[in-house]
Amino acid sequence: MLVDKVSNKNGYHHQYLEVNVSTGECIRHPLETTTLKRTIGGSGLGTQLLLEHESWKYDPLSAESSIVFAFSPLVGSPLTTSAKFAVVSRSPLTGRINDSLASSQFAIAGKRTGNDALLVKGRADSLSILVVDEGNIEIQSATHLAGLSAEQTEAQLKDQFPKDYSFAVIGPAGEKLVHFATISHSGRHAGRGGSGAVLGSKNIKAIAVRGKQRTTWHNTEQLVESARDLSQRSFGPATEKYRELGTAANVLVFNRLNCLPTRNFQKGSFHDAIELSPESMNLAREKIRESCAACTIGCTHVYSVPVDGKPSRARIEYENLFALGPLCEIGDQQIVLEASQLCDHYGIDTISTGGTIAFAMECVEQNILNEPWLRFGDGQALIQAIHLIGQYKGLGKRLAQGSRALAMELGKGTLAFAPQVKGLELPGYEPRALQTMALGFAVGTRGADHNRSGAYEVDFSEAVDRRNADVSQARLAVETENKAAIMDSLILCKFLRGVFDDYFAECAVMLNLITGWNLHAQDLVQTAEEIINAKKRFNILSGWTPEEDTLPERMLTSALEDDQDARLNRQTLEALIKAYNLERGWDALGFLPDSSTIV
Amino acid sequence: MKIKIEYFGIPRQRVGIASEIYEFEQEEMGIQDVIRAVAQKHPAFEKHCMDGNTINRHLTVNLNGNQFFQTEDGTARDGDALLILSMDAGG
Repeated sequence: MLVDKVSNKNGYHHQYLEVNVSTGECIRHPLETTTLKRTIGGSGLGTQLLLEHESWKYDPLSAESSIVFAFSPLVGSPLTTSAKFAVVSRSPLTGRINDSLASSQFAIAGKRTGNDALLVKGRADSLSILVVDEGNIEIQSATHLAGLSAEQTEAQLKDQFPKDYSFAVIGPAGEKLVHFATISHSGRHAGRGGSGAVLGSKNIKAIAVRGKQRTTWHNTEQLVESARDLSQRSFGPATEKYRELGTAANVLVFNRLNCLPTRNFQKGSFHDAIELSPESMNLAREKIRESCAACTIGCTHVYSVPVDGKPSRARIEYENLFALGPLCEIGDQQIVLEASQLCDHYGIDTISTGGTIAFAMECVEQNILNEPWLRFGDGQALIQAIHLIGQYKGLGKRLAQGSRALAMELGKGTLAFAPQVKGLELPGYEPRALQTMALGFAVGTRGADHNRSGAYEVDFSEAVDRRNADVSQARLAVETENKAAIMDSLILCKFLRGVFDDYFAECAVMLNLITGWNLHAQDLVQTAEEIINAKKRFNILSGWTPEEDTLPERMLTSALEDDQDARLNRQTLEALIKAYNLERGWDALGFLPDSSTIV
Repeated sequence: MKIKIEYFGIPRQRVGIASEIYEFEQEEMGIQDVIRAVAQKHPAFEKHCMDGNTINRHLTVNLNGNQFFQTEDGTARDGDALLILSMDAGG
């Protein structure tokens, strides 16, 4: 298809590339300005393309399904944290929309291929590399990379390809279609929801991209000035926590407030939390700090982890620590760091890995799962379980489907304590102790998710009583989702959000400087709403029912063991969900007013 | 009255301790007044964690693990614990 002539290339190439890896057929589709204004890029654009390709119809691991790598108008600009892309597909874990984001040079190189997005469908005959070298698209054999970790794969590809290529790759778990496999690049991961399995199902081990196509900026002088100002603010107190301690700083705070999920969400505090805190790790280990491509914050804290006497390193985030530590009742720093490193090695999401293993540990404890070696608090058992998942062997085959699938297989009421919403394992925010977040988890289009809803911010504010939610909090939850939808489509790092005084207005200015549009804050609020509506539409078309918007039953019938004030009942949650749905302009059950409309 | 101040994250980095007890003659005090007493005792806290007379907008205060106070004021009484922590809980 010919691409329509556009008057300029401010921020966009105005086209995306569709590659069918079964046939090698490539199509360049035009992207109209009206579409781009409505979706911006990243998560918004990816969702729109999946809708257009009717991806809701297909098994996410089938050849017919699509996976989109969506860039954004900010990629390649001097704005800090803008080297990001979104991977969007139907999730094998949830059957619903999934968008996972990551930062790396892949975003910049991918956009320089001259495309605003790459859409991959089909299934290659054998394990392959999809090479996008601007207009030259090739599918090359990757059989020599089979079984290699993401890190090893990238290292080999760097030897194999010229230096100006960047790569997105899967590890062994993606090849084995583990339902929570990741897509990795330069040590970063598009982690949640199993996009690595979707790529693996297409027999694509790696995507290699390079190009020289650059987009322009409407007002370079002011953009550079704006970027300088944003960078300056990113060095300030709003991001201090991330720079000095990293996201792991949450461990001691959450523990003190009884919202650190422990022992498969039975408790909200952990006796060994101090051992896993960055304050302790900084004293005990060597640490270096790293930044994503084009980022001035530098939130990544990488600790030394000698394994079998050999030096190695592990990147640590709060979510890794919580899921592989307290959730499985592991307080041994070395074990948690090794476990985190192993997840990176196999290419699996740490939250779903920890959540599924913790759930299995509880099933063992209740004599429902006959794997007596898999016990809470047993570090070696955790390590063994991760190996089994990554290698897709023995019990690992069952764990590789996630906690919901395992619960459905086991029966005996286990679904009540499987730590998931829509099949996606809960991140490290105890819903009973953070009840605006509980709502965010329940209604999240990709399942229990702390990145598409920042409702925990509301719970950590003076605006609400975090353990006694009322329907007025629905509006606040909607606002955090709207902010996230814009950040995930622009795309900017969420750790910047504290630097903005007037979030939507400042985002509109940045977008206008790049595109030459004349958007205002309210326009972006409307765009956010449309992006969330599009995700909801995808879910409805893929079979979503209102019953999916809930929490595990145990969270609605039992208080936290160590905080009896942290309790939530079904009636309250349902009232919150109804208020949320109405606030969004949907019907009380959560259906769109125009859900019969396909796209 | 005795008030326990617990520091988390950046405030702990600046003050260099996890917690301490403050003794006041009054039977109850405004939370913001307690915070100002902390700032008076710890110059690094005053420099990095305060914005004039109030705690900076990137930090918050929690009373006994329950209510948060940032722009509003509350009352601290004997035996209370005030937690000083980052506003941003993202991870």
